[in-house]
Amino acid sequence: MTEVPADDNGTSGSQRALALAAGVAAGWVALWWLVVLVLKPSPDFLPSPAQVVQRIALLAQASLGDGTLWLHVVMSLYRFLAGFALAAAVGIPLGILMGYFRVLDRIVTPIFELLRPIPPIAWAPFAIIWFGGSLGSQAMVIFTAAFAPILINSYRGVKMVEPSLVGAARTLGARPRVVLLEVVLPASVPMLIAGVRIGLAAGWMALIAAEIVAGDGASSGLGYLILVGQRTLQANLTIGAMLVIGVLGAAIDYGVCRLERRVVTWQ
Amino acid sequence: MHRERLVTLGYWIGTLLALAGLWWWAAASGRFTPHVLPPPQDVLESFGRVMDGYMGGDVWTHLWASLRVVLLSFALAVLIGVPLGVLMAWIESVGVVMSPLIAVLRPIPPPAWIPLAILWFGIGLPGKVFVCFVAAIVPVVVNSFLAIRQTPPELLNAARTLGTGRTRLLFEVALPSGLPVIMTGLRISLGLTWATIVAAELVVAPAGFGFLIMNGYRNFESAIMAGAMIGIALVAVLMNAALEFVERRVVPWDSRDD
Repeated sequence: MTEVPADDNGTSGSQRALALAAGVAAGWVALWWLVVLVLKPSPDFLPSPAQVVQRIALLAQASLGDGTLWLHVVMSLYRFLAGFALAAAVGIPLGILMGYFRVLDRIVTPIFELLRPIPPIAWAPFAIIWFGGSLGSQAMVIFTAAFAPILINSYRGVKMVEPSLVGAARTLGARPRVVLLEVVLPASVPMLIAGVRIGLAAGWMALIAAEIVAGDGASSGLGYLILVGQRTLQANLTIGAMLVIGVLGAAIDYGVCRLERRVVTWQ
Repeated sequence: MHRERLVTLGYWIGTLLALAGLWWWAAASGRFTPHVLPPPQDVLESFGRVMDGYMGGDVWTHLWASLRVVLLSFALAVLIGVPLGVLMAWIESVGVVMSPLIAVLRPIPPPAWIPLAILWFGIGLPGKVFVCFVAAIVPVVVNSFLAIRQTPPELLNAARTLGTGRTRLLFEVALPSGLPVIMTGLRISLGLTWATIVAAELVVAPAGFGFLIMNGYRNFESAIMAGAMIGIALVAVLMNAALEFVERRVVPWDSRDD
């Protein structure tokens, strides 16, 4: 059902490999710079790496729209958390209950399967009509994006619990509630966290899309910065904001990876 | 087992009927304006309107406007991405050089490229193909890379022991063994590309399914919006089914049921 974009965070990679990667990355930046120096494109079209860094550094002090870079970062994270927290708060319990209670599974699955093929961003216009042009609509789009992977993985986590574990607990006289809380739930945590990770990535993508598509009511957020850069022909602002989004997205994923290793110590 | 399927089917039909009934009832209750909640019959009627021609073309014009971008970008992504991912895994130096680039591009959500594409290519076909291509290629490269990397060592060693050369090892051992993972990458990619073209058309487009949603929104025609969303979901399901069909043909030995 879900395709997990498999991951290759080879943390076993030695310091040397990391240094090599950093060197190669520097080489790519140098190549970008060389292209700008040789072809001399208009800065509206392709700014140099220095111009991008300068623009972002400037934005850290000078305000644009509602505030400086920090405000835009905070606003994006705020919207993201609002939608994501809702998706996790509904998706995890619902997925677990669906995995545990057959009836619920049979009722929710058709609705879920019917709504799932609609790309989250396609909800944006209805989200604006229902919840207004800013936080509400963006949170709904993020919710829609993050909900599906979180629900599916919580559900699968429960379904994939070894039946012998449940059987053993039952034999020892555990009540259904105890089986759910003390056997099924811990055993499904790895799947659950994997779902949260995919949900975070999907939600992050939806946030930027929502800020670009449904952001007309707001003058804040990283998507807003990208859009302003395009409208005022500041390619350095657009590219800089994209890099900030990429770095934040990668940082969030890295954080969850670390958390995963903390929580799931037995794997 | 047979009975089980009938029960599941019953629940499907029952739930969907209840859902449709609830929608119809909520819309008819007068508590919501048709703008907030378009009645199902209006949405059905909107299908007819788009079929007959809406905003400069019938439904096929709009479908083709979206679909040709997706097919073009997807084809490009497969042609470039599969060899790239495979080479990154198979030849150490290619992997070292390309990995940082992929690592930087990967966490940037595809819709974030839309404004840059407008700056670089304008609002026509090339800009949309660019955005969709960027969206499409990442999962293709990542999965092709992993497909080759995850080749069971015992397979490679067995073939090596039998004296297989490096080229044959790639084409006759590593690639066939990794094909299911590559195909999964293609399916993720196609779904993502479809979502991306919808996002791009919501921002700016003269035609297409995303444009229908945006136009419905601007003209206060919620029924058109809902109709276009259903159309988008339908195409997504059909495209996924088509790729699954291809997948079963290409990797008949793969028994994963996802």
